[in-house]
Amino acid sequence: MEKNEASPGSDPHRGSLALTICPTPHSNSLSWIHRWRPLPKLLGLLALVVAFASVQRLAVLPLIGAIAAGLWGLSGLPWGLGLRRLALPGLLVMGLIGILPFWVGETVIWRWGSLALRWEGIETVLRIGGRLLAIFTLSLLLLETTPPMELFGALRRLGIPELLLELAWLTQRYLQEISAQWGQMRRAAQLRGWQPGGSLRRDLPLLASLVGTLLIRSYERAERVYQALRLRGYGQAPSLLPPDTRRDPYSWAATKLALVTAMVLVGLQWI
Amino acid sequence: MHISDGILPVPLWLGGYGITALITSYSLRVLRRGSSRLTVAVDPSTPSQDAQSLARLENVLPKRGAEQDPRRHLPKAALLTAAFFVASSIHLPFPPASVHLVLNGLVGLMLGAFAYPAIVVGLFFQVVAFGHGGLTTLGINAAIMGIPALLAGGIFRAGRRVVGTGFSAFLAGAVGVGLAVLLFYGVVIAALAGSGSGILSTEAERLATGSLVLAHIPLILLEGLFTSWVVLFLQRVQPDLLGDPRPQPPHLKAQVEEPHPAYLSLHGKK
Repeated sequence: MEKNEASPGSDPHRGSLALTICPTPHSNSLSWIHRWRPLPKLLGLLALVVAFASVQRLAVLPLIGAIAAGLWGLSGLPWGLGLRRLALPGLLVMGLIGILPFWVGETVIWRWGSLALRWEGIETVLRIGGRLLAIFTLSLLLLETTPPMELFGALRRLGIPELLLELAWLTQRYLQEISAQWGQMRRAAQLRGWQPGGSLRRDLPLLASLVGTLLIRSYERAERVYQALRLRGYGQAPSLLPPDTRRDPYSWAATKLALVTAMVLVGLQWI
Repeated sequence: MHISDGILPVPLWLGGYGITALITSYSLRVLRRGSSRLTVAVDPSTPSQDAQSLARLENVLPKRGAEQDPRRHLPKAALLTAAFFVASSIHLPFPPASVHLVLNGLVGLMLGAFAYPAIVVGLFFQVVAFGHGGLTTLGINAAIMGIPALLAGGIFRAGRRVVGTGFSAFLAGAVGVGLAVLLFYGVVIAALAGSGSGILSTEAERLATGSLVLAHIPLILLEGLFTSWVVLFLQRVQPDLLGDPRPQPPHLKAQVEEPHPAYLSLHGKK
């Protein structure tokens, strides 16, 4: 009983929300990005992210794109993965890209009736799009090449409260199972005759009761999970997150290189 | 309603992280003191069958500090966070398109002070799983969703005695998402206006924010209605989750009021 409660994730029936939460990094890969220790990697990539986010000059955009693409290439991760994930975040950005060139600025470079394409708008879109691409690539690189527990351990060393990290760890652990349970509940409702997407008046009360049931099941289960965890020593040991005791001078050297690159990028704004 | 990387200037997203750090540390301090909403969710005077069996199990475990251990509430918050994460992926038909629920009001009224850390964690996983939002904008996105969630929790608790559970839950859900919409468009438009490219005048900024919020009124009403139905369902089925004592079934009450004859004869009572 306790073993089942504390060891989720074995259910082969996944729900519609087939999540890739904290995907297992490509551990077989021998790329140095994978071997970069979590804490120095986090610091180095964060420094680059801050530098990328501060870029205003259009001339610097190709440089940050090249740095991001170079790091991605060094990681050995498939290019298709980055492109697939990039398709997801862009609703707001796509809206801005569609609107801003026709809305922003005064320098008209092309006109068709009342529709005018303006240079300042294009500049803003290039800036937003370039920064998004570069930052998104580095974020994905960090998350895809660092095991979640090691990432949480590095965050703890940076001063993130342990309770918050343990909350994240437990949430990640149970997310797929709750998602599978939700999928089963939906399928059961469909077998009883519910057709999703039919009418709002019919869907809303049914979905409310399904969500309520999901919350109740989660709540009741949480107590059992806690008891099972405590029987295994949870709360007695100093921390769930293992300390990173390995020392790797190459990792810190890579971090110093990243910091210098970030400072150069910031400095380029002032030249 | 997630702001992606690259849109906001550095001071704005750093400020978002500052706000999130402050509110999260306050929430965790409340939790450590044991005065979180989660602490009062289970009324010990009316333990459920599960709670009684768990209490027996508790006797086996080391007692020192168990009740004061803030980690006690973590599995509960984690499982509810996961449930909210999954529930917020629900798409409702809303011609000519479909909308997905935000549920930050529901998170606020159920998790209380823990709502903000739960939203931070939920948004982190949305970045990881779907690429919604971004790592640089995690702080400001958490503030956009989390502050209305905390406010919604307060509205629910304060309004419940005055206007009833259903309506106060409706208000909490509607205010939660309404304020989040207002903050979201306010931040995006202010960021664009402040980017130095002369995108918007103050008047145009106000007009654009107002129009976009007005366009979300149907979603706000829908969210309020949904929250209200979920809360009424919980009140009917498991009031513990709302901090209410579980009502005793009538047949159990009768047993308490009228002891069994065998019990009376055993104790020499007539």
